Amino acid sequence: MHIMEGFLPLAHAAGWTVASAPFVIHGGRRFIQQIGRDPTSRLLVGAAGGFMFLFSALKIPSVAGSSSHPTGAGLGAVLFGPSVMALLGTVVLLFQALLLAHGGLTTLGANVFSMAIVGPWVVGAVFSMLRRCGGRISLSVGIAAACGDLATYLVTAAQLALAFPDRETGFLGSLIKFVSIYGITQLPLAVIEGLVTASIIRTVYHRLQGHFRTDPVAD
Amino acid sequence: MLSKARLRWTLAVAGLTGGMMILVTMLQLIGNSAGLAGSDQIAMETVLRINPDYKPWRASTWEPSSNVEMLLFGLQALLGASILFYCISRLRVRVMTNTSRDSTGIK
Repeated sequence: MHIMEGFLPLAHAAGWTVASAPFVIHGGRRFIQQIGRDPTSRLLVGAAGGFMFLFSALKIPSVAGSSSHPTGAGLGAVLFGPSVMALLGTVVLLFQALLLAHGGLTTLGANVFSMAIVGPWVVGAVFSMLRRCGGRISLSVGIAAACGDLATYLVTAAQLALAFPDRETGFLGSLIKFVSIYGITQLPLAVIEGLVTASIIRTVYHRLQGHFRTDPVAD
Repeated sequence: MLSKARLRWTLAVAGLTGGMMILVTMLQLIGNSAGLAGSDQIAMETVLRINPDYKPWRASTWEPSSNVEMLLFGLQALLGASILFYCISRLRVRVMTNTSRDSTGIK
């Protein structure tokens, strides 16, 4: 989901930054609320942030001779709802943009939108939907985290297709190109991300029952 | 003095944290030596194929060499794993002290 520095035209870069900013500010407010609640919540936010930091550093080789990153946004989105993740994700992306030249400052808004906003939001929505349909906790978490990972990369593909429509086939032709690039690599990674997130939640669930948000969408 | 159980836990956590860092660095190494292209990189090349006239209008001010990049990814993993396992350890202590007092678990 790292659109490289300078790889979005100015208008697009500015647009995505403006679109992301309110979510990040809201996420910051939620973050302060969450860590103010009690020491346990503070530790859970820390754990979710650490998990995201660790997981997005994993560059996993995948099929078709390419490699990519998982997003690590699922755990926190399930524990607190999606909004806090907007802030945590921005911190991760800023670190990678400044130190690793993965992503960039001009494309930060677009990358935040895909990984720290849409991804966690999809996780939250899928998770609460599956739970309402009576899905088991670890299964719901796993599927939700995998969907969030895929959604992140779909958004990135759409962002690139919007900025660079194909000369003949237009936006759709371009979208298909980018989706197939990311899709092949990301599908196995999404499964891995789902499995890992689910097994973590499974290990700690019975101890954390009081801390689950059952309705993250109402955030 | 650390009790035996705490010592064992601390060692396990330290091992896991170090293991994560090594895993991340190894994955980088495998990716680099096998010549695997990052999907992000392929996407950016596609951008230039779709629109050959496009000039990226800003480049990263600092780009690490592949060895430094590997090290920094390892550092990111180390930082993340440290925070993650520190918080889990503290949570675990809270759970243990709370459940010995009552059976409601952490709240």
